[in-house]
Amino acid sequence: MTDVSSNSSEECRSDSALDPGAPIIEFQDVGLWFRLQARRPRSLRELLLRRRRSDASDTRWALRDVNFVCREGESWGIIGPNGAGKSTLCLMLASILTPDEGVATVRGKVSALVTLGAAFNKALTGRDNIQLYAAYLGIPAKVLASKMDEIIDFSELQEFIDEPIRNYSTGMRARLGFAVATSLDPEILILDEVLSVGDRGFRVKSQKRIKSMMKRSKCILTVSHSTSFLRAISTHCLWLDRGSVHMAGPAAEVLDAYEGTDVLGARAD
Amino acid sequence: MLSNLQNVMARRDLLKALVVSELQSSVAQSKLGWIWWFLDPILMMLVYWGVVVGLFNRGAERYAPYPVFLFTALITWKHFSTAVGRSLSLLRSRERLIKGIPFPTVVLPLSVVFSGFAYFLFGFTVLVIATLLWPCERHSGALLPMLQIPFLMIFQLAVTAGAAMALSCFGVLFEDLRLFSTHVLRVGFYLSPGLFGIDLVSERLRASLAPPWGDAVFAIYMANPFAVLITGYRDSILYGQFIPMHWWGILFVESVILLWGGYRIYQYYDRRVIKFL
Repeated sequence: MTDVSSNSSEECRSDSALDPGAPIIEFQDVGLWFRLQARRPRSLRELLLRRRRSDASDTRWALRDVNFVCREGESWGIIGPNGAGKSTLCLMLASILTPDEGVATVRGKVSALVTLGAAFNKALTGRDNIQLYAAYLGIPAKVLASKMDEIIDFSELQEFIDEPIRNYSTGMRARLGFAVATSLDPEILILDEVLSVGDRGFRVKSQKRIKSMMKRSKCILTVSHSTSFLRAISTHCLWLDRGSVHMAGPAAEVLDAYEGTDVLGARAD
Repeated sequence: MLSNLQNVMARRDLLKALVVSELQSSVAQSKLGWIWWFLDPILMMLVYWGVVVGLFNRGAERYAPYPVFLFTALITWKHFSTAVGRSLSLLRSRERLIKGIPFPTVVLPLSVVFSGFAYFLFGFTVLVIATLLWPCERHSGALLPMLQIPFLMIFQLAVTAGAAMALSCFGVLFEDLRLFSTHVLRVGFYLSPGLFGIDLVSERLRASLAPPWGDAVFAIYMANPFAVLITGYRDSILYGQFIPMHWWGILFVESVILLWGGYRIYQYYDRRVIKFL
């Protein structure tokens, strides 16, 4: 279990791990701020010569007062305009970022299909990179050894697997990344706009694999701008707007309301 | 906290994989491959030797065999300066990775320290061979002082790891540190002492300062862990001597403070620093 409390309180909630009926993900009044880049001292000179106290105007809340509970078997879609805080929420779900206020509790092993291939070293071969990426993902060497052939087969890179990946095309790298990242069954699956990997043939295959992973995982969170896609796979939806929850609940209800908004009008605001 | 000690220990495989991949990619990126691991320190030694002895005609007699004397400092300092220099831009250069996969990011500065240490060990092999080629007349003949070497290496690793962990966070918060550090590190090499021995420092300080002050300033000078480390390696390999006990004490205290301090700083900034990437 990952219990990500706010930095200020460092509150521990390990007791809830014992409760079998406890939600898989629980966000309570979660907030996270960013310091505005233009206003923070970015150099030693600025820090030493322009000493001034930071105030509220230096920061912007990327997310604030986010409350939602995800139980076993639920599939949550996350929608909202650009800059609404969807990716920041994913980073918090994966425990990459910790909240500045509130408590974010995530019970289970998270697999985040967010950026594929970020762990790759271009000078190394495909095979070496599989080992490196697997190490980042925490896949034990023995487990990887038993899955190596399956990963290579799935990526369709048998001929090139001992070539340095600097010679691979972008699509080939994405296929390799996808094959490694999806080689383990996750308890919590986070998908952030990574469903369009590779060419048409590979896309069909990757979507099939994601669907089978969805069946095996305890809960899924998908970030997408496609309401039809979310309608097909989600049981619930979280609509984020400007860092806060605009609406949360059953998928059909939230998506109907989202589609009914005047997007251009909202943007003009 | 992802980068706590327990998580890091559980992810030893990742640290090992990062060090191995760093070494593999250095081989893959050059035609001569692993030969560069030995060639690089030899070329570095020849350049310094050429400049100092050939151009300025200094050091050769007092510190004979000067190439080996110089080489000891060069490889030791290079390990530290490369690790520190790389750490300062490390987290920024791995932004996509850090924001893409949850893992204890402290393994990144640690992998820089350990892969640099592997290069240091290749350089050390060259050093041992060079010592056999250019035996030192001042060598006492004792081999026992060589037993100091593994302990000096452990302290070198601890000091470098502590500095790398802390500076990888500060490098994100203060971007100018990277530019500033190149100059500080260059001065550090000359002070450590790279081109001369501590006997010259002690001599000059005592000659130019009144009695208690000369010794006092020298004691402060020796608080630099690399002054002790470099002198320790030289005494062990070149001169067959043991370094004084109080130097071990200083090294131990400084290593513990730097390693623990660096780790605590990293632990504090671990997730916070990601917001500034």
